[in-house]
Amino acid sequence: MTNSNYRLTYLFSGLFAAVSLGLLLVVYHKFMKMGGPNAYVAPE
Amino acid sequence: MLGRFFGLFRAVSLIDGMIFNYWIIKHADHYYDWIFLSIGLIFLFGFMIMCFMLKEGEYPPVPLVEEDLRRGGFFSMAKVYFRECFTNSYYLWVFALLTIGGAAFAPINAFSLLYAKSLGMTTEAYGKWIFWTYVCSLALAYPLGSLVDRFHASAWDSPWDPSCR
Repeated sequence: MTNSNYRLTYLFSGLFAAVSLGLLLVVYHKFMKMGGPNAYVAPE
Repeated sequence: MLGRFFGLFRAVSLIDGMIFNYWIIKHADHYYDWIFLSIGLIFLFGFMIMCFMLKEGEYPPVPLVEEDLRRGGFFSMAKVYFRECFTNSYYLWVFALLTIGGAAFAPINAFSLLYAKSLGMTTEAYGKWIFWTYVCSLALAYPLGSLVDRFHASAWDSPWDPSCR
């Protein structure tokens, strides 16, 4: 599909990394709402 | 302590990677079957050592539950599994993060050698350059472990969270 254009590997890795950074912010926000590092209570 | 342990644990795998990339990968084009077989045997040996030498600790008995879910059969258990794993949005976000984060590294690991070859680089030169990147990682492994021990989450006094102050 990419005709062996392996440079695209780095583009896709970068895109995935950017998306995971956004997801990290969402998870961090939810984690802090559940008590954060000092008072975390796992959801039921 | 755990951070430094994982730092040293990482150092062992980095040293393995350095040995492989400096001395072995250049032979991969012609002897990949023997290299795979050797790695498999070394892994089997290490895994068997772990199986025979690792001893289980003493644990308290599992508390009895009134309703044994296993009585309902396969589909009942599967229903509980899917309900517990896929109905809580927090865990869905966490696993989306872990999956996409893992997928960010996977293409690099899978295609970097092919990319190097497409640029006209030999497998030997590729291995040597990877060796030097691992030297950098090795130098960082223990200091990063020490930092994890010093600033890990359970002893964390977050500058962004007023409740931690």
